[in-house]
Amino acid sequence: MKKQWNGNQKNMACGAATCLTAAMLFYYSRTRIKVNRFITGFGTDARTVPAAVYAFMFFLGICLILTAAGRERRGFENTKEYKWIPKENLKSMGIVIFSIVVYALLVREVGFFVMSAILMMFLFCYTKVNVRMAAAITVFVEIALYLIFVVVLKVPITMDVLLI
Amino acid sequence: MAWEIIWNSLLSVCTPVNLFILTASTIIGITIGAMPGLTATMGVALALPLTFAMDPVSSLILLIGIYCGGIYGGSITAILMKTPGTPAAAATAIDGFELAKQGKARKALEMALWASVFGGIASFFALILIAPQLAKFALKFGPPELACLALFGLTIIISMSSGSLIKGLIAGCIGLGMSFIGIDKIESCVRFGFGNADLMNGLRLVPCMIGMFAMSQVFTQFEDIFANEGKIVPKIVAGERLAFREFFAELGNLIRGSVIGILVGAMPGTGSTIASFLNYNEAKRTSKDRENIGKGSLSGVCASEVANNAVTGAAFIPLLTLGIPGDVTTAVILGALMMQGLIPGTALFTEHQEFVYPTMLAFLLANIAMGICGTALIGIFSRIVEIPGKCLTPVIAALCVIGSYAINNSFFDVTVMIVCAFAGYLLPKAGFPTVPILIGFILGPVFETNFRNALIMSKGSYLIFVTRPIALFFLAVAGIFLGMAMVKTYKASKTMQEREVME
Repeated sequence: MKKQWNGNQKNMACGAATCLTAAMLFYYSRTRIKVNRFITGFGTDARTVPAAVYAFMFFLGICLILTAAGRERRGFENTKEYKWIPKENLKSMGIVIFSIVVYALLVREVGFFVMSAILMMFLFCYTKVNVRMAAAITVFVEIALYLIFVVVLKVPITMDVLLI
Repeated sequence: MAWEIIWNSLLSVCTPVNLFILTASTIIGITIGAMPGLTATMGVALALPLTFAMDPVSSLILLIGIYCGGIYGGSITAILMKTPGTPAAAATAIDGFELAKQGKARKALEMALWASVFGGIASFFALILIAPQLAKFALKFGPPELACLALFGLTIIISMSSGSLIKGLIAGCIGLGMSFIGIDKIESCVRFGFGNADLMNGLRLVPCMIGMFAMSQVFTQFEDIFANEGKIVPKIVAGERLAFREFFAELGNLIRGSVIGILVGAMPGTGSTIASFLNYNEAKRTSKDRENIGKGSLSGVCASEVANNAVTGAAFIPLLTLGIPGDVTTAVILGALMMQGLIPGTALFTEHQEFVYPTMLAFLLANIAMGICGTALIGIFSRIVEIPGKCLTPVIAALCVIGSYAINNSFFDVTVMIVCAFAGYLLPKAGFPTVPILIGFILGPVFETNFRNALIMSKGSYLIFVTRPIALFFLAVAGIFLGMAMVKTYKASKTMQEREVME
């Protein structure tokens, strides 16, 4: 049987991840930020606050590990169960994410509004909505978006006016 | 002089375009609030890209309409389905749903509406009376005071975020870290650019907010996207209506709720959920009808709704005068202000009076619009709850992508939005609240710039933060709040351990 982590073990992992990230960013802020030596900050420069914040974050990560380890040693378990997306809905969710990625990649080629129309049709169809209804909602949302962004707000969205 | 300013502000708000925006945004806000899972914060975040092309007054009117409408809209699902549309309406669900089961859904909805209008208008008066006085006091603030104020804002909001204090502080640090990315304002050197040209320009606030508060909700919706199918919603159109005497019988409850809502709202980091439960408990303790509260009482609905809407205007007091958001939604609105080039604080009251007073008046008008639209369209709003999540979710997902792209025609912003959406979905699962990230991101530059300027003023001496009384006051209050939060966390963990031992 697959071993599940309890809440304390998850918190320790979160603490370790926090410490690791904070340490890396602290090192980066101390060594890689090129400060402007001509501007005197009287003891402070562009590195000071980031370094202090990441040092504090490292300390918090240690606190998180110690707190969780203490609870684990004393036998207290955090039994809170988090709700996740159920397996049967993951397909719909995957379609949404996939659509967004495809959308981002293709929008430059075929235009903003045309692509968003395809995206919405795709999303509606894969979230178990009647195709005719999906088409109607998509057209309605498309027209509304066109009116709001291009006609009323005059947002200069490239290529779209030509393609719609 | 003051009346002249208010009259001129009223004229600038009451243009046909602004009145149309106000009415439309209030209706949109109620609609968003009425949909289970969608919050006023999400509505405001989604509307942010639309404000780019508007003038500051119209854009704030749009956001205020959605904010006020959204808070009230949450009560519709709470009453009809026992599913609060917004967290602030959780107390409304207790009595509202019981009333709906007794066939008094319309009465409950009308009580919720007019109590919300009463609370909203009371908070407008608090805003217009208190904010200018507080702004005059804030004139005395220099860089050390502003640095300590930003620190106070950070600690109070982090300490009040739910769950673990350590995780709240870590989330605040993540937000601060996000604010460091880009070109440093004092030395003009690039920080955390990692050689990427887009990162060198820094992260924009709007894609982060859309990702964290709107797109992440799309993922959350997928947890039970098909859950509301087949739920029966009571028909309310032919139901019994609320009588005037029933409303005015709650006058004491309305006044007390307004005061509680205003006090809670004016305190940064609290929010309408706390206010509504506080007044609900007070009503339970002192109302003539206290035996029925919890079993279907109009007093319960009134208590919750008046307090949560009284928070809306009051939350703008610290926002406009000190630049500290009163709750999550006002934190998003703070981002909108900054996008318009308006930095909240004293300067706003001295240099942008033409913007401040119309914003305040928008609260009054939004609540009036809410009363009128709510009464006229109550039947339609009650049907909104039947819209299935599977129809809404794709629209919201598409709007998130389009909204973040349209700001700057940049795919980098879409990428940032998606990364923030995953963060906004996954971090709360591990117990890290997302609100401190936003607060850290917004207040980080304010703190850092003023902190460094203060040290330049004092030639490197940190004593400047303790020798100036106002700065010392903010430091002390920040310390007290952090201490209180630590004690609260310790007590909560002790209680939990004792419960576990008992089990």
